[in-house]
Amino acid sequence: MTDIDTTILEESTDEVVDVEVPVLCGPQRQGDVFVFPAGMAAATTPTADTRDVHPAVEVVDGGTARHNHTLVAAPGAASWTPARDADGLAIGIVTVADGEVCYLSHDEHSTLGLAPGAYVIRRQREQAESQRLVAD
Amino acid sequence: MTQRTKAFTPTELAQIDSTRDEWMRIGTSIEPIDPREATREVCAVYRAAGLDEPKIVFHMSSPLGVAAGVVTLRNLGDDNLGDNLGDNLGANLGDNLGANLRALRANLRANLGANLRANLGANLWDNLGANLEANLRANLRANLGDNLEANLGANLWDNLGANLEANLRANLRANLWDKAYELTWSQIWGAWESSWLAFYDVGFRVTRPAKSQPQLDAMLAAARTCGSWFPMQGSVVIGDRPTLLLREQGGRLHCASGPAVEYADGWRMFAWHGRRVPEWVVAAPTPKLIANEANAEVRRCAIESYGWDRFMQFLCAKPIAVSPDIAHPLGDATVELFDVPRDVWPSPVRLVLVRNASPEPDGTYRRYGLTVPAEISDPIAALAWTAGVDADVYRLLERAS
Repeated sequence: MTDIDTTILEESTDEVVDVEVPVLCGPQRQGDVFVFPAGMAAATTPTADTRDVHPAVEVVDGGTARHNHTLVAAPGAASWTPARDADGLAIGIVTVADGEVCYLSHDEHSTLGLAPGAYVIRRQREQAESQRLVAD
Repeated sequence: MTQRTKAFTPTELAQIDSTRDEWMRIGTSIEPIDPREATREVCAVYRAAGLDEPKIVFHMSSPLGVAAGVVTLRNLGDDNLGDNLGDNLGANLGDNLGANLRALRANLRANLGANLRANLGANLWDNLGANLEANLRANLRANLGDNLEANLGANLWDNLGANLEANLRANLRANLWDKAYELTWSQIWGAWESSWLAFYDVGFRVTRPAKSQPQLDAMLAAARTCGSWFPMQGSVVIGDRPTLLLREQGGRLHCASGPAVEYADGWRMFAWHGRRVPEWVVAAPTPKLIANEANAEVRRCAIESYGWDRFMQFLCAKPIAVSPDIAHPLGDATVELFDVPRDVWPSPVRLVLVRNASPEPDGTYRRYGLTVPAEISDPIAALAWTAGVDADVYRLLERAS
C-alpha cells in the first residue's frame, strides 16, 4: 500500500482524494474499464501519438450522460498512446515511469493506482444484436 | 500579502458548515422566484462587472424555457431560423411558449432600433462567470495555502458539489443537452453553481472578512434569487426554480413513480437513484424495453424499477453455474450465469449477473447483468469474454472497484 499524493489529484481534477489507494502492477478493473499489464491483452498503436498523462487523460469520455474514467499523474510520470485491437476494446496504452504512479479516477468508483510499467486500458463489451461496448 | 497556514479554527469551521447548509437550502428550493427581485440582482451583476445593464429581460419557467428565450433573442434578425428554433424548443413545453415567443419576437423586431438589434445576444458568460472564477481563484490561492484550500474544497465538495453540481446541474444539463446543445453550457445555473460560489463565499469571508468582493457578492445575490439565467449583451433571460425536486436520503435525485424534477412549463426529468433515465424506466418498464436498452446503466435502473426477481422470473432464467467473483471487495460476491429465452434478446445470449464492485451511498452493492454469447458456460469465462481476454488472465485480477 502506498499513500496517495493528493496534490496530484487536486491539481488535475479539482477533487480531493484522501483515501489510501493500492498501487498495483497486475490487472485491475474500474467499473466497465480494465487495466491489463501490456502482454496480457492485445493492443496495437496505429499512431505514434504519445502524450504526457499530466494533467489528465479522459480514457473514456463520459459525454453528457455517462461518467468519465480519467488518468491523472504528475508531470513526466506517465505517458499515454491511443491503441486499438481486433475486438475494438483497447483504448490506449499508459506507461508509468520508474518510481512514479499513475491514477485512474472515476466519480462513482474507487481510484486505481498503477505501479511503474506499461498497461493496456480496455473497455468492457457485451453481446446484443452484435457485440457492443458497455456504456455506463 | 502573507499566506495563511494556520488551520481553520472551530469558529471558522462552524461558519463553513453554516454557509454550506445555507447554499444547500438555496440549491434545493422550489419556492417560485420573485421576478422583480431576480431582475434587480441580475442587473447588479452586470453593473458590478462594469457592463451596461440589459435592456431586455425575459422571464421563463424552466432552463429549457431559458434556452428557447435565448434562441429567440439571438435570432431576431433571421426570420426563418428564429421562428423554427423557437418553435422547436417551444413544442417541448406545455404552455404555448412557442406562440408566446413568436409574438414577443415580432414585438421586439418592430420596436428595437437596428443598432441595438445587431448588438443583442452576444454571450457574456465569459465576462461574468468564467473570468470571475479565474480571478477569485487566483486571489484565494494567494491568501490561502494549498492545504487549507484543499480542506475547504473537500468540505464543500462532499456536500454541495456532489449534491448540487454533480447531481442536479449535471443531470439537468444533460437533459437539456438533448434539446438545446450549446445553450446549456453558458446558462448560469443559479444556486446550483453554489459549489464554487460557496467555495469563494466562505473562502473570502474566512480569510479576509473586511475586504469586499463586489462582483462575487453580486453573483451570490443573483444565485439566491434566480433559478437559472443566461447573460447576453443587451438582454438577459431569467428562469424560475423547479416546482418539484425529489431526492432520496443522501441527496440523489430519485422518484420511483414520476418525474424527480419538474418546472411550471412542464419540462421535467426522471431519475432513478441519481441517474437520469427515460420516462419509461420509471413509468412503464417492460422486459422488451429493458432488453433493447443499449446503455447498461439505464438498463440496470430499468430492471431495478421492474424488479430483478420479477425480471428473472419473466425470463424463466435458469441458473447454469455460480462462481466466486474475482477481486471483488465483498469476499462472498458471486458471479451467476443464466440461460435466458431466445426471443428476448436479438441474438442468442446468456446473462451473467454480478454485483457492482463499488458501494452505493447507502452501503449496498447493486446487482447488474451483462449479456454474453450463449455458448459460454462458465461464469468467469463469461466475465473474461466481456474483457476480451482468456479466463486464465481474468483470474489474475488484483483489484476491482
